[in-house]
Amino acid sequence: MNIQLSKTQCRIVQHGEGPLLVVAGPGSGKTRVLTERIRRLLNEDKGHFRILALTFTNKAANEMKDRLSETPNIDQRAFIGTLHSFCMEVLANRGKPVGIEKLPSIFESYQDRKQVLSQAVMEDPYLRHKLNIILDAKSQDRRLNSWLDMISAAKNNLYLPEMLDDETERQVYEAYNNGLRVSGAVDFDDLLLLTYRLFQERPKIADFYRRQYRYICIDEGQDLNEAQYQVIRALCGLEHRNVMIVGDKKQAIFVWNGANPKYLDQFEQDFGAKKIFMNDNFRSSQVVVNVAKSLVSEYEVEGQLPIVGSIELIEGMDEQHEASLVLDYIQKLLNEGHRDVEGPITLERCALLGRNRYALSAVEDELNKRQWPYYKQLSAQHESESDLIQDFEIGLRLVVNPFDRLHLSMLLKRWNMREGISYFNQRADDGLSLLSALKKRVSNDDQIAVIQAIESMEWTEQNFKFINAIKYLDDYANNIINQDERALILEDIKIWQKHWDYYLRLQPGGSHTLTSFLGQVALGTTQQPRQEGLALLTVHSAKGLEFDVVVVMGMAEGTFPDYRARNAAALEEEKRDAFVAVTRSKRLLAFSYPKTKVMPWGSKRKQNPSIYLETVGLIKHDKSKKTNAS
Amino acid sequence: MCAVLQSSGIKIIEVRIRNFRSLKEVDVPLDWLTVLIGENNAGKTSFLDALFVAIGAGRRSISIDDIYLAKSEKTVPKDRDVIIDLLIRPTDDSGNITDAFQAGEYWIELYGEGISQDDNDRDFIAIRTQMKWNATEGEYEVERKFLGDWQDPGRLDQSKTKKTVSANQIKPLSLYLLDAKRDIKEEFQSRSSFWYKLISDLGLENELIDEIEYELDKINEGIISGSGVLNHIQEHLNGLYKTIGGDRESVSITPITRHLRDLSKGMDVNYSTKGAQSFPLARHGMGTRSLAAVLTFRAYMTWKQRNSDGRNIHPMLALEEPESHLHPQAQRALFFQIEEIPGQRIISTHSPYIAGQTDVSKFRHFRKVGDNTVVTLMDIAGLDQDDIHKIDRMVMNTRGEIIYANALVLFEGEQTEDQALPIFAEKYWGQHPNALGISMVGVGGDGLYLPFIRLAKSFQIPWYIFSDGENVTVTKVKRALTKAGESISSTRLFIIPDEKCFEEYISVEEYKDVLIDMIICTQSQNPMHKAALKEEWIRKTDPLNDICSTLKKDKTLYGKRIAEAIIDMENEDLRFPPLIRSLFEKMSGDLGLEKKG
Repeated sequence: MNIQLSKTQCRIVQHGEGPLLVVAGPGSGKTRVLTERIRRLLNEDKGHFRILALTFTNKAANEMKDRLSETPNIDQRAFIGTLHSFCMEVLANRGKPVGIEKLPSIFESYQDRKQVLSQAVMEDPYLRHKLNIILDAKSQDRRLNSWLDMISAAKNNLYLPEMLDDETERQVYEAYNNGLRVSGAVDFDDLLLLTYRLFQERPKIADFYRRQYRYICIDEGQDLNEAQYQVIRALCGLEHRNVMIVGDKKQAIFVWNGANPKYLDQFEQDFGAKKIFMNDNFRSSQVVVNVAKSLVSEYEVEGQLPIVGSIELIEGMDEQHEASLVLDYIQKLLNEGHRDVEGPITLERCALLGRNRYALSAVEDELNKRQWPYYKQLSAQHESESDLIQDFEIGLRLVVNPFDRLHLSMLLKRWNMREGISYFNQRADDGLSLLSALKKRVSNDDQIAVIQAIESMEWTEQNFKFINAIKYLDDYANNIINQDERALILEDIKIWQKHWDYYLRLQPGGSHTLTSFLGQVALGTTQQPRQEGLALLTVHSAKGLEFDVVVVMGMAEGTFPDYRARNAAALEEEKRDAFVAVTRSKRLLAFSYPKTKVMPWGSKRKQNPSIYLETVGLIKHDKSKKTNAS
Repeated sequence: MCAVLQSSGIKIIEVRIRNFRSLKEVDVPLDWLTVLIGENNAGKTSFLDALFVAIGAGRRSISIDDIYLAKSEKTVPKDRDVIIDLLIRPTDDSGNITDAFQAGEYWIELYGEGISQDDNDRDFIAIRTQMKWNATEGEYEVERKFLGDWQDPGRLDQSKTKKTVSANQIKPLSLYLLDAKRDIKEEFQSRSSFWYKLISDLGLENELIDEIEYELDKINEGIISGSGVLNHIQEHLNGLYKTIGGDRESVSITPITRHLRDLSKGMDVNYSTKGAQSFPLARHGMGTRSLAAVLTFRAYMTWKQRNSDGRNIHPMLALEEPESHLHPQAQRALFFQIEEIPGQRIISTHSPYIAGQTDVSKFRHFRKVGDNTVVTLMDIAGLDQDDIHKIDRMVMNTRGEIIYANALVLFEGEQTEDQALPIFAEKYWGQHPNALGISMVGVGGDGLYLPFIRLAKSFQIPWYIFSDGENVTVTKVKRALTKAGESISSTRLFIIPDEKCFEEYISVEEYKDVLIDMIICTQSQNPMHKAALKEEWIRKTDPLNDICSTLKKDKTLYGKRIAEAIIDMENEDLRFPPLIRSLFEKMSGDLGLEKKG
């Protein structure tokens, strides 16, 4: 595939030194422009340097790496990854001044973080009191959640505990941080905050990265948050100006999470960046472009494909019916193809999108019933489903970080052990001895299997044989009688096997330590960019992807737009979500919704079609309907 | 100073080796030119081999024989790993260490995150080559990683390892090892030689090649048509096309090759020394062939540098005994040839002629202590530039012998001791001190003992001081000893008693007669004169005092003769003045020598 670059694309690819802001609408070829520019710089630019290419998702990073894989020494000459993985790299190599001596454990899951917080609160009399004066458990739980959000927000705004005004919040934040550090861990937000501090406090370290990376390219600039933007500024200091940011305010869909498209403007001002617009859309058919335009009126498109495409509305009686009709629609395309889609349509070319994961649960059942291959990308992180592999995962964490109190206490609880953390801490000062101390106390076969699997890896700080553990668990699982359990475990093993394969591919001949492997899994870099079968995606996880056929499901009021979006800003973001969802489609677009829905508490409830269906002209404005609903 | 023709921007400043053969634990700083000295079997070659394992231009596998084995051990423990750590620092254009790599430098692109910073934010690159036993494969595995820190020598196991070092990150540091067996003859024949690499692409324009090959064809025709025998053979070979088929012209003999690329394979170098007939280098003696190999390497390296902008190759050469098979004069001239090889050069040598031209800070002294190699270098703390120059001059003057000495006898360097001591020594041990490896060194009138004591201590050479007894002199000696960390009552110190100088010391009753005889013999011009002088001496009221002042007046003249006079005395007890005797006794004990005279 070697389509000629457009004039605008050429200008960006040819851009050399100096700051540049590229405003790139959906389908304008930004990934192509980014990769072609990197390729050109590496091939043509004189002198010796590296390039730092920061993407929003690991998927995007992996795709970029794939596209550049033929450039000689690409692994050595460019860092391509998310800002988080860049920060991880910086901290692992230079983190000493901010207290990171070696690759830290990352507590990425919400549950782990909440556990850290609740333990920290319980150990502090003042905070325990603050929590206990709330009487009912549900409110206590909500308070913990809000504290956790508060900490995350503080970190994302680069506030240290002492910078908070509220005494309780300050103590909560501090206690939580201590809890993490005692376990030798950091959370995701720490990666940014610590890197920012490092660059600020030790300008020479930032200078090292400036010397190393002559060019910095940043993708999806509309989704930067304060911490991310400031890390970039601290990295660049006053002198580094060869920064290119690509972004599109219309696709800003993470404002709810602290991101803000205003950083595009700030970048333009702070760096004095030149601005280039990419207004073509060579991805989507005319129908899709028109739908996108009707959702966001300021969306302007210059160049367009001469392909019409199609749009459909699928209305189900209920969610099951909706699911069934959607799959019928896909089945028909698989059977017959479509004049606007070149070649046969396969499942891999189709995606089902939902505003949230629940909008896709009925269709998942239906897929299972029809035994169609599919994959889900409903959350950023990977989770094992079987108990055995969950235990195995915790065990892995403990081998590399025996001081991880959180996961040790989790494991002790899962295994119903009477001994407490201190019992084991007294008997073990490294991962292997912790393991053997645990081994003396376990009785059940699963637990022994987990420990023996880990032992079979012959783990050392520098080396380990993951494949041995996989083999061991695989053999063990194949002897489990319960079929469901066996299937679940084997499925989990398969995923870990894939993580491992992908990790090896990412670090060819590289240093394969368990710590770095777990770190990469936590960062999500080992997630596969594309898988087999039909894709089930949330709108947010579909970011950056494209499919010939896209069905946006659950297009009912309350689901999309989300019922929680009440103010104008939130509603605007919902609209941008819809914009992002429809622009994932290259050719054919369909919306579906169920006319009724069974609520979690069991009662049936009527569903109204989403306002957006009206906006895009699929449903006529109907006053009587509206009054009926209210 | 050693010439650094063109700095690559980096310098390997230290090598640390653990468990490689006898190198159980050695840390060796490297300079642009580093000279390894020490006895045979002290570990010099092992050191070069270890470096080659780490960054050599070629593969060298490690076997169990390469792992350190203590005398008390029967087999090598399987968990004993070999470690070779290199510390690399950025340099400026003239080769001086700098704090940071510059943006746009080759090395920053090549090593990227492999570059670390110390606590003072100074850039460095540390590369660890580690060899460990792989039980499954039944062999030693080599692994190279960047280090995140440069730990204290005793804490290498605490080092923080980073990413794996790839082959192309090692290549620009490639170490070329020219061992003692090098030979230009092999160079001509081997396809992997520097010679072959250089000439495999002659860089001729295509038109020129056509032209030359056309000429070659003409020469071939000329040979065939002129040669009856070749014509005859060709006629018979034509049987080929008659039997198998083909065109008439398909059989042809080419007496010399028709393709230029084949022609250069037979390339040879002729060389004639003055007045002699020129003949191929391959038939010259080993000395010439060995030197030619070194020069070919130099040509290769400089050519490579010239064609690669120079700043992305860091030439590393390990040269074993460059002096081998060379005449002493040629050895001396060789040094300048070596200086012109670009990059970092590590030379092991036994040649005083080469050592003599190196400054002392470049020496690394290898020796065995038990099973282990110990490497030391000159401790220059507290020495000023003058001191160091002084040693360098002395190394040069003694043609390097001082470095290779088995013992050093130091004195203030007035003529008497300088001349007398060797004669006493030769009489005492029955061999000239040079033959015993004993260097007698006058440190000069100012009593500059310190640099020499340092030198001796650094290189583990037993040292002795033989000093006059005057107060001023003794004070200087003691000050030097204190500075060198030695006791002022050291048993290595021999001071003439009673605040006397050497002449005063021997102007005593026991030696009166022989000394007077010696003075008369020296001064007399004919027998009559001799008799008159004799008379004169008999009449002297204080002959001892007069002997002393005579000897002092012309030290150059008498130094040697004093000794010659005394050593031939009949009474054995008197042949060696007591202090000299006790010096020699002490040395005999330390060095295991036996008294002969």
